[in-house]
Amino acid sequence: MKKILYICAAVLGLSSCEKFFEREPEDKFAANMFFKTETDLQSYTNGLIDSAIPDADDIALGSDTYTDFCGTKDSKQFFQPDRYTAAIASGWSYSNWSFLRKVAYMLSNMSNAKGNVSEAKYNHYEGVARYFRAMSTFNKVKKFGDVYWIDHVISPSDSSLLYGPRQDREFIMHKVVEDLAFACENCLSDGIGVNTEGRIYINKYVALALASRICLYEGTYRKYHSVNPSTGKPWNGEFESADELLALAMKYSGEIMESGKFSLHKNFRELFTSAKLPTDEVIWGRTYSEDLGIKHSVTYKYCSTTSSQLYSPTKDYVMMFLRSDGKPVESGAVSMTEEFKSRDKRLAATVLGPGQKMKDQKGNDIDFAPDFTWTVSGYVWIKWVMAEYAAMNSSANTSVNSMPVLRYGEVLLNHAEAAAELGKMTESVWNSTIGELRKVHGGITNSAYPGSADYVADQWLRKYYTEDVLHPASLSDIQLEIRRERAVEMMLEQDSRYDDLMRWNLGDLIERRYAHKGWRGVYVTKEEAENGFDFNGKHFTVSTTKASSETNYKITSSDDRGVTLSEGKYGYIIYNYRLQWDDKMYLLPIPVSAANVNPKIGQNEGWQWL
Amino acid sequence: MKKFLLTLACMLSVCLAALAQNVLVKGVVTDAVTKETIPGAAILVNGAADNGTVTDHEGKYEITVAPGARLVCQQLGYANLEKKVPEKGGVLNFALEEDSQLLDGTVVVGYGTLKKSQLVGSVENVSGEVLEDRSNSNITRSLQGQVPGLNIIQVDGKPTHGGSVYIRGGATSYVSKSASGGAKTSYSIGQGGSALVLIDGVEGELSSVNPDDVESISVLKDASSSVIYGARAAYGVILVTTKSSKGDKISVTYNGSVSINSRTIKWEDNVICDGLTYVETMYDHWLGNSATPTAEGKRPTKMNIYAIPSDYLERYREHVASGATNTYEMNGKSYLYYGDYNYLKMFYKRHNASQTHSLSINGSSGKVSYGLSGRYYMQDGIYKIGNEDYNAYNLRSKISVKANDWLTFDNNTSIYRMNYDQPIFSKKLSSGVGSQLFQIAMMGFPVLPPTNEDGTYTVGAAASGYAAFKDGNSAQIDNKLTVTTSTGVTVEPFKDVFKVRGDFAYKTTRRTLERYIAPVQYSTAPESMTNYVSQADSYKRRYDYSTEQVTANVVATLTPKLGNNHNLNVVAGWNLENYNYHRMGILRQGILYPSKPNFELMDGSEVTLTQDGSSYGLVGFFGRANYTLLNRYIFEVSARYDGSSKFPVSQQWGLFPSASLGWRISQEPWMKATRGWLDNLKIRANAGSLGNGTISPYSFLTTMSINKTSSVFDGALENKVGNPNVIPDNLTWEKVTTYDVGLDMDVLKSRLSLSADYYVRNTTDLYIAGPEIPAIFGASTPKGNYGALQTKGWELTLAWKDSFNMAGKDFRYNVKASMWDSRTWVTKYYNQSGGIYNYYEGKELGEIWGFRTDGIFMSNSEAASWYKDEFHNFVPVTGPYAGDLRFLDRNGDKVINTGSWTLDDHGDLERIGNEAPRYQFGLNLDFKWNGIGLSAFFQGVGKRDWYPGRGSDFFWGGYSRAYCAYVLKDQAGDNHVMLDKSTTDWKVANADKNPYWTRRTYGVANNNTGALTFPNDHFLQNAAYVRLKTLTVDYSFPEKFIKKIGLKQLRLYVTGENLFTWSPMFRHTSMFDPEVIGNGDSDFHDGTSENMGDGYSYPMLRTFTFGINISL
Repeated sequence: MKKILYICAAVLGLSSCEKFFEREPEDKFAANMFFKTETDLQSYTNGLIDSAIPDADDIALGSDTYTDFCGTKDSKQFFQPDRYTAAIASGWSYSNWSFLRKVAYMLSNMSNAKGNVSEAKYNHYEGVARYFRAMSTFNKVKKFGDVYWIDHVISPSDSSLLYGPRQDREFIMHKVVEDLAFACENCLSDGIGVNTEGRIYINKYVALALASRICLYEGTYRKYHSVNPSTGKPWNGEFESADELLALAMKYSGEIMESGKFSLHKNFRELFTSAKLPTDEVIWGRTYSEDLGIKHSVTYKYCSTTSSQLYSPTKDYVMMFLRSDGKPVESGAVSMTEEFKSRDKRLAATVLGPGQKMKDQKGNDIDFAPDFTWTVSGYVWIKWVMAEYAAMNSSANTSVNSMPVLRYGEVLLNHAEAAAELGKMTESVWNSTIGELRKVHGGITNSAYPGSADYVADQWLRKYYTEDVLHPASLSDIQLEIRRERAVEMMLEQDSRYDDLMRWNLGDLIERRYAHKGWRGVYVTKEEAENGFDFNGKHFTVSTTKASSETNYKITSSDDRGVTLSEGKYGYIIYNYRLQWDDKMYLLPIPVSAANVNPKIGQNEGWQWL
Repeated sequence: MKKFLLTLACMLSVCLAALAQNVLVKGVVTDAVTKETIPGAAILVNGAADNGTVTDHEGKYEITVAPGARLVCQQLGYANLEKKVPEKGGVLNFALEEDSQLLDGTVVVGYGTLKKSQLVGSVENVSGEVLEDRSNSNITRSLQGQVPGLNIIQVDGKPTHGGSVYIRGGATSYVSKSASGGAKTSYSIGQGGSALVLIDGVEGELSSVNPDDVESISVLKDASSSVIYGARAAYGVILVTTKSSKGDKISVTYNGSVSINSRTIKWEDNVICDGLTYVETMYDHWLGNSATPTAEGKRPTKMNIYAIPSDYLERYREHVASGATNTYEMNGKSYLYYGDYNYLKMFYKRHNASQTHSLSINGSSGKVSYGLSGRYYMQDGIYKIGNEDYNAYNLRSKISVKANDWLTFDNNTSIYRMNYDQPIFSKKLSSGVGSQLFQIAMMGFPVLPPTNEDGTYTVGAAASGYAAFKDGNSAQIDNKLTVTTSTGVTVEPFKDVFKVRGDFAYKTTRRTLERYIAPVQYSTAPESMTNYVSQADSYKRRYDYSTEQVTANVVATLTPKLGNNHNLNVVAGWNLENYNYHRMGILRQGILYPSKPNFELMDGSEVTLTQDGSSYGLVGFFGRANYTLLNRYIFEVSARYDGSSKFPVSQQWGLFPSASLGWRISQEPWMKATRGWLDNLKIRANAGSLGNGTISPYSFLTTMSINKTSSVFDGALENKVGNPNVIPDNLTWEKVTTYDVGLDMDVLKSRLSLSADYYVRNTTDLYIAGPEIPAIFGASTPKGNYGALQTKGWELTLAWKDSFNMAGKDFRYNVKASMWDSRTWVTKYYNQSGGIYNYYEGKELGEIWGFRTDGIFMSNSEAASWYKDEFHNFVPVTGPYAGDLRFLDRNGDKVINTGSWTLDDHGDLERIGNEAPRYQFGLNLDFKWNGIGLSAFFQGVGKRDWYPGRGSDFFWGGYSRAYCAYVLKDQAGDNHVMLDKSTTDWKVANADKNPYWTRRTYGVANNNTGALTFPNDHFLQNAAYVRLKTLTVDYSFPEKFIKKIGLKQLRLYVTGENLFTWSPMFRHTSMFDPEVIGNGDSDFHDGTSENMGDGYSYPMLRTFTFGINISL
C-alpha cells in the first residue's frame, strides 16, 4: 500500500523519487536494517556458531589420525616424501577466510543495537564474535604462522592489507589473546544460553576453556621453538612472552576449576559415545540427533573396509597407558589378549580390547573383534565408535554420538601443563589435575606425584620423548607424565596429539616411528604366530598368504606399505610406510596461487615457491 | 477501480451527447489532375487517425460526423486536404494534389510517429500483414526472418516457446564444455538482455498478442531510434501497435483456420528398430570400446537397468534363425525379450491438428470509436499417449472518446489466457524432469515390448517414460492469465501543433505451474513388481507466480508549422515503470491416488514452501527533436535521463544521449538531372549511448537470509542468519554505444528500393567478476562494471515491386530480399586462467575450439605409427585403431592433446568454426492477380557451424552411450567403418566407400575425454540452411459478387509452413531440424546437463492451414 502511495506521489508530483527507489527484497534482510535487536544478534551469532563449531569429522577424524599414534592406509600427502609443494598447497582460498569476514561484519555493524539491548548483553554478543575471531585466527596461525589480522570488513580498495605482507605471528597472537580476554570478561556466566543441555552456546566458561587451550599452545610453542617458523628468526618478544602466555593459560583454566561448575564424568567412554553430551564435564560440544536426522559417519569410518583409511592405534600409544596400580608397563612385548589386563580404564575405552561388546541390530551384545580389512596394526580405535553401529558394519551417516569440543578434562590438563612449564607444579595442583583424571577417568587408585616415594619413573617414556628426536629437550618426570596423560586422555579429540607434537617441537615423531620404518602394532608371540590365537570370538592367524583378510595378519616382505613382523617370524607387527618430516613442516606453505595475486605475501621459511 | 468506473461513466455520457447531433456527409475523392477516382483514401475526422473511414473502390465515401467537424482526406502520394463539414451535412468532394514527397508514409517511432522522410534512425516497420495467414501460437514464429537484424532464436517447436528475440547480435551467454572435458558449463557476461517489447506502449510479451490485432510492428535497431527508451532499450525495441477503428462504419471481421501439423523431422523413420540389428550394433559399440587385436573385449551383462545374459547376441541370432515369433522367453526366472519396437513411433503421432478463430468488430459513431476483438487458438497434442493440450484466448477492447475539439480519452484493455497441459516424466524429485527423447535413448530399446503378457509394464516402458505417459498421471499444467489495461487522455490545445498525452497502464499476470509425478511399477519376471517411481518418491509441486506492472507516461508533442523549408518535430516526456513479482511454491511427496494428485491426498510428512519476490521502479525523462531543413538536411537529437531503484543512490541516474544526421541527396538542386529515375537517396548517420539496467534488483544491497542451522542447538535447529553477500564497490549502468550509418534509395518510381546499414556497437561496463582478489578478502571476487563487448554488423534490403496488365487484370508482384550479419568480440574480460571456453579478450562469440583431422586410419599399423593421444584410452584399449580419426599435431609437439585448455596451452586445439548464425536472410515473393494471390517466404542462415553436444544421441547414436536405443540409419552400412579383423593388423574393409562414421565405440563422444567429445573438423556440421517458411495461395472473391450477400470481403487461403528445408548437414544426419539444433527442451533442464542432448526438444512442425477471412 505504501508503495502505491509513493507511485501516486511520483505520478502527481514527479518527485519523491528517493522513496520510490527505496526497495528491499521480501525474503531477505537488507544488512543496514539488521543488528537492531537482541534477536538479530542472537540469530547472527547462531550463524557464527553453526559455521565455526567443528563437525564430527573435524573432531574425531582430525590430524591426530596422521601422527605417531595412528597408522593409516595412506598418509596425508603432506608427510609423503617430497610430495607436498607450494604449487599444490591449499587452505588459502577465500572460503577459508569468509568466516572472518562474517565475524568482522557483525563487529562493524552491531553498534546498531546499542541502546536497544543492555550493555551487558551487548558486550556478551561482542564477546561471542571476538571469541570466534580469536578461534578462527588461531587456527590459521597454527597452519600458516604469520597471517593477517582481519578486524574490519575488507573492501576491495583496502590494498595495504590485501596486497601487503603477512603480519607477525606475535602481533596476531597478541590480538587473539586480547579477544579472548574480552570474551572471558564479557561473555555471560549465567542466564540464557549458559551451560544449556546442548552445550553449544558461547559463554564465559567456553571462552575460558578455549583461552586456556590457546594460551597453553602458544606459550609452549614459543618455549620449545627457538624461532618463528614463518621467518626462521628468533621471537622478537614485542608482545606477550611464553611465560606470560602460560600464566594466562593457568589463570583461565584455574577460573573454570574454581567456578565448580564442572567435574569429570565418571564413565570415560560415555563422554564420546552417548547421544547426549554429559553435562558434568562437557563445556562446549556438538550434538547429533537421530530425531532431527543430524548424523555423522565417524563409526563407519573407523569400522568399515570401504570408506576407512584403516585408522589404527599403535603399540606406542597402548604403552602410554599406566597399569591400574599407577605404575608404567614394563614391556610392550605382550600379546594383545594379555596386555589389556589391569590397565588404566581409558585404554579399553579407547582401543578395542578383549571382552569388548558391541550391539547387533536387535540391540543384543555381541563380540567385537578386529577385522584386518580395517586395521593395519591389529588394534582398533573404539573411542568414538558407537556400540550400536560398529558391529553392523554400518553405513555412512548413521552415527548419532554427540561430541565434546571443549571439556573439563582438557582444562585440567592445560592447568597442569602450564603449571609444570612455569615450575609452579605442586602436589596439590597435581592431585587436583592429573591425579583427578587418573582417578576418575582411569580408575587408577594411586597416582603418585613424581618425586614422591611411590612414584616409578617410566624409562621407556623418557626415551620416547627425549631420545632419537631432532630437538631433544630436558624434561622433568612431571613434564613427561603430563605428556603421557595428554595422549591417554585426549587422543583423537580434534587435533590434540598433532598440536602437542607441533608445540613441543616433536613433529619428527611422525616420521620417526618404529625404527623409522613405520607404525608398530600388536605383539604376536612366537606361539601365536605359529598356532594363531583367539580374540573376541574370532581365530586369528599369521601367514604370508591371504586366507581370510579379516582374520589373517598377512605378512608381506614389502618395504613400503607392507606388513612385517619385527622378529621375522614373530614379534611386533610393523606397518612399513615411509614418511618424511622436515622442520619447515611445522607450517604449511603459502600456496603459489596466493602469491600470484599478492606477490608480497611471502613464503614460510624453508618452503620454496617452485 | 472506482476511477475506472468514473472514467467509463464520463465516456458514456460524452458519447451519448455526441450521437444526438450527427449529420451524414458523403462524396467522391479524385485525383486533381487526372480526375480519376481514388479508392482506399482515408477520410479522417479532425485528422485523428483512429476516427474516420476509407473510400470504396469507386472513390466514394460516407461518414456520419458532428456538424462543423473537419474532415481530412489522406492518401499515400497525395498531399492531405482538409475541409469543413457543412452544418447540415451533404456532399463533400475532395480533389487531391500529388505530393512532391512520394515516400511520406508515417512510421511508428518511440512515443510518436515520424514521416519516413524525416527518419534518420534505423527503424524497420513491418505491417501486420506478415502475420496474416500464419497459424502460429506466437508472433515470434511469424516474424522469424522478416526483419533484417532481428534475430529470433527458436529453441524448439513447443507452442509455449516463442524464441528469444535479439536485435543486432545474439545472446551473449552460452553453454560450453568446461575445461576438464565434456561436462557443460554456462558462461555469461554482463546482465545480457533481449529486445524490449512494447505493446501499445506497455511492456509485454509477443506471445500474448493476438496476431490479428496487430496493425504494425516497428523494430528500433539503433541508438538514435531507441535511446528514447533509455535504460530498457539496450538491446533494441519492438513496438507493437494494435489496430484501431478506421471509419465510422461498423466492420466485422472473422478469420478462421484449421491446420494439420506434422513434425518436420520424423525421427522414427530414421532409426532401425529391428531387435537383432539393434543388439548387434550395440555389441559392436560395446566391443569397440574394449576389444583389441589380442583381447576379445568385454560383453555387456545389462543394458542400463535391463539385465541380459552375456550370450544374448548368440541367443538372439538363434531365436531369429529358428523363425520364432515370441517376443520373450524365460531366462531363469526373468523375462528375456526379443522385440522390434519403435518407441519413437509409440510416443509420437504422425499428425496433429490446430485451429484458430478470431472475430473483431470495429467502428465509430460520432465521437466514440471502438474496437472489440477475440481469438481462440488451440493445438492438439503430438503424443499418441499422454494428454497434451494447448489453448490460448485473447480478448481486446479499445475505445476512444473525443470529449471535445481538444480533449480525447481512450482505453485499451486486453486479456490473454493460456493453458498448456503436457505429460512429463521423472524418476525422482532430485533428478528433475527429463526430456522423453533422452529417456528413450536411455531405455527405449527396440527389444523391449512396452507391456508384458500379464499387462504389467516392462522395464523399458517404465524407464523410457512410456508408462508414465500412458497412465496419464504425470503431467505439467501451466496456466497463465495476463490482463493489461491502459487509459489515456490526449489534450490538443493547438491542433496539429501541440498536444499532450498522458496515460496510465496496469498489467498483471497470474500464472500457476503444477507438476505431478505418479508412482510407476514394472515387472521383470512374472508375479514380481519393482518400483520405478515409488509412492514415496511421487510428488506434486505447484508454483503461483504473480506480477504487477504499472506504467505511466506523459508525452508532449510539438510540430510547429514553420513554412515549407523548416520542419520540426519535438517530443518530450516522462515515464514511470513499477514492477512487482511474487512467487509462492508448495511441494509435497507421496501421491496416494494417482488420478487425483491433490495436496490433501498425499502422505509425505513434509510440505516444502517457498516464497520469494522482487520489485523495482524506473523513472525516466526523455526528449527528441527532429528538424528538417529544406527537406533535405535532417538533424535529430534525443536523450533520456533514467533513474532506477536497482542501483545505489549515487549511481541511480544515467543520461543517455544520441545524435543523428540525415542528408537527402536526391533533393539537392544539383541532383535535378536524376529526378527522372531517382526518387530518393538518403544517407543517415547516428551515434548514441544507451544503458542496460536489467540487473537483478538488489545487487547493490548487502542482504542476508534466515535459515536453519545445520547443528543441533539444545535439541532443535535454530534460526541463523546466513553470510552477508558481497556487493560491488560500485555498480552502475552497463552502457551500449552504437554508431550506425545507413543509406536508403528508391528508384524508378519507387519500384526498386534499397536500404543498407552498417553499425558498430560497443557494450561497456558489463557487470562481471573483477580481477582476482587475495583470499583474505573473505569472499569471491566481487562483480563490477568491468567487461566489454563489441559487435559489428550490416543489414541490406533490396525490394522490387511492380505491376502490369495481364489478361485485362492488374498483375501485381513484389520481391523483397534481405540479408544481415553481425559478429561479436569480447574486448575486455578478466579470465585469470586464460581458459579457452570462458570469455577472454579477443574471443569471438560462438567460436568452436577443436581438433583438425586428416581422415581415418586405414589400419592398426598406420594408427600405431601416429602420434600418441589422450583420448583412445579405455583399458585395455590404449591408442587409436583402424577406423579411428587421425588428429593432426598442430603445435608440433608430437603428441595429440588438449593442453590445459588455456590460451597459452591449448595443445592441438584450434578455432575450427563458429556456431553463431551468420548471413541470415529472408526472401519474400508476392504475386496478386484477379483476386488470386501467391506468396512465398524463404528464410535461412548462410553460415553456421555446429558440433553436436556429447549427450546428443540423435547425432551420435551408439557413439554416445553404451546402450543407446537409437540405431541410426545414417550410421548403417557403408556409412560407417567396417573392419577386417582377420589379422591383428585390422584394416578398414570398406575404405573405397569413404565411410563417414568412424570405428564403432560407445562413449567415444560422451566420455569426459572421449576422442569425439572435443570438437573436430570431421564431425563439425555445416548447419547453414534455407527453408521455405511459408507458401500461401489465396483467393479473394470479387467484391461485386460478395456484396450481394452483404460481405465486404471473402477470402480463402491455404498456407504451408516449413514446407521445405535444405541444409548441408542433412548429408550426415537426418534427425535434426537445423532451425533448432540447440540444447533440449528448456522446460526440463537447466541447460548445463550433458544428458539433455541437442535436439531433445519438442519437434518443429510442418503445417498445412486452410483458412477463411470474412469481413462485413
